[in-house]
Amino acid sequence: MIAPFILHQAESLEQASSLLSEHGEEARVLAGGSELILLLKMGLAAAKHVVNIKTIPGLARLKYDAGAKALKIGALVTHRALEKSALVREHFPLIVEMEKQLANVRIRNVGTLAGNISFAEPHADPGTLLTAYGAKVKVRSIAGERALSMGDFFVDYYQTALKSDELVTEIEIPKPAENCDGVYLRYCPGERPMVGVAAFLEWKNGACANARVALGCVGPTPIRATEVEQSLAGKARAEILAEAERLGEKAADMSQPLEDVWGSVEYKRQIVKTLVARGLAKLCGERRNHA
Amino acid sequence: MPETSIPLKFRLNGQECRAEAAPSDLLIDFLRDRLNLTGTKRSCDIEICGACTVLLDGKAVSSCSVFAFEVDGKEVLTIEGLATTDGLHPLQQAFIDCGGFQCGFCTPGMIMLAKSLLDENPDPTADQIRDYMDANICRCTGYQMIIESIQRATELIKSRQA
Repeated sequence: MIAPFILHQAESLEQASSLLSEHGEEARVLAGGSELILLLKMGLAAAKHVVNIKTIPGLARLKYDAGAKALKIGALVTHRALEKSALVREHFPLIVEMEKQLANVRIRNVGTLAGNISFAEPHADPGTLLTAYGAKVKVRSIAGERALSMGDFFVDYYQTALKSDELVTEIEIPKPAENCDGVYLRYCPGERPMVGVAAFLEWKNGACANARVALGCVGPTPIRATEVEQSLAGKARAEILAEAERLGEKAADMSQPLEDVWGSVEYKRQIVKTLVARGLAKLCGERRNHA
Repeated sequence: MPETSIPLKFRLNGQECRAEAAPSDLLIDFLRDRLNLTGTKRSCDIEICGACTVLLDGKAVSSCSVFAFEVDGKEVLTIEGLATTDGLHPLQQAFIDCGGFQCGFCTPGMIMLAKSLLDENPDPTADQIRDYMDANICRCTGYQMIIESIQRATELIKSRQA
């Protein structure tokens, strides 16, 4: 049973923003509902006012801005829409890979990408990959709009930088350079991922010119493994392959997993090490089916 | 705090339907308790098991985690809407023919999820069936027969269309 609430069917972003401003902490935004309804049912969130934004036209827009070379994902775009989009498949194949594995098809049919990150559930796939992509989150309130990096958006376990009167309107993902390879790997023994690793390596003259490595589910928020990224810069594929295990260890040291029913801290760090090493091996061309 | 009821107009199993729901009513309770459609089952209540699967505008959803008011203007299909005066739906017949259930509790959800699979992909491979049906849980673990039932249903549908 969900405690009774007053439903507001917002007709515009302006109206949604002013409702959120008026009701503050007592209001919650409803998009797909797959996170919100669970939390309301379990009593982990309370809402006296629910602001339905599904009634706002235009928020389900998904488009690739060829000029800005960026994918623009409206707040109502579902996981399933991203999984099935030919446009996303062409320019951002890793998004499709990630979405195909996310939860189950019933959740992907209703759940939105913007909603997923807005709850900052630490055991989730999208935040890790978006962090590695260098995505930006556009949020708005009656005071105006602002854009946040993923690093600034995620604050702590289940906590974002969103103020009580703000909502996410769009997620913008820059297209990686032509000479950039990416990988997303996850370990998911249950319903939610235990570890997620995303990496992009940009190549120039046979060496890694730029590296972005993100670790997810192993700390309060997804993080960039900056020390690993620095070690990758300037190295050739063969050098990276030779160091993959060591770089995996370095990433594991940076992770801050919690012990839970799925595994100990040591076990999860071992998975981080394995996935980072495996991801680097994949990006540097070594095919292997062990480790 | 008394909730204001919301008038809803939607299509339910092919028929026009008008009803009212409170904002906090969940679709599963609305179907089972208000409309007496008890074929849809509640089990995990957290969007994992799929026993409560129904189709909303043709898409499989967990009715345990969708608000009832969201059906307004939409099309809802439950297990009760599959059979016609001509008989059972091919999926229902195939689940009987192949023993695609043991206790039967997951069956309505399995059949509704299989319906959405076959609507998207009328001729799935066994791997595609496994991948899609991975969303729903059978606690009796009769998965192999469920996969066979869906394969059988694709044949039945093809032969009816021929």
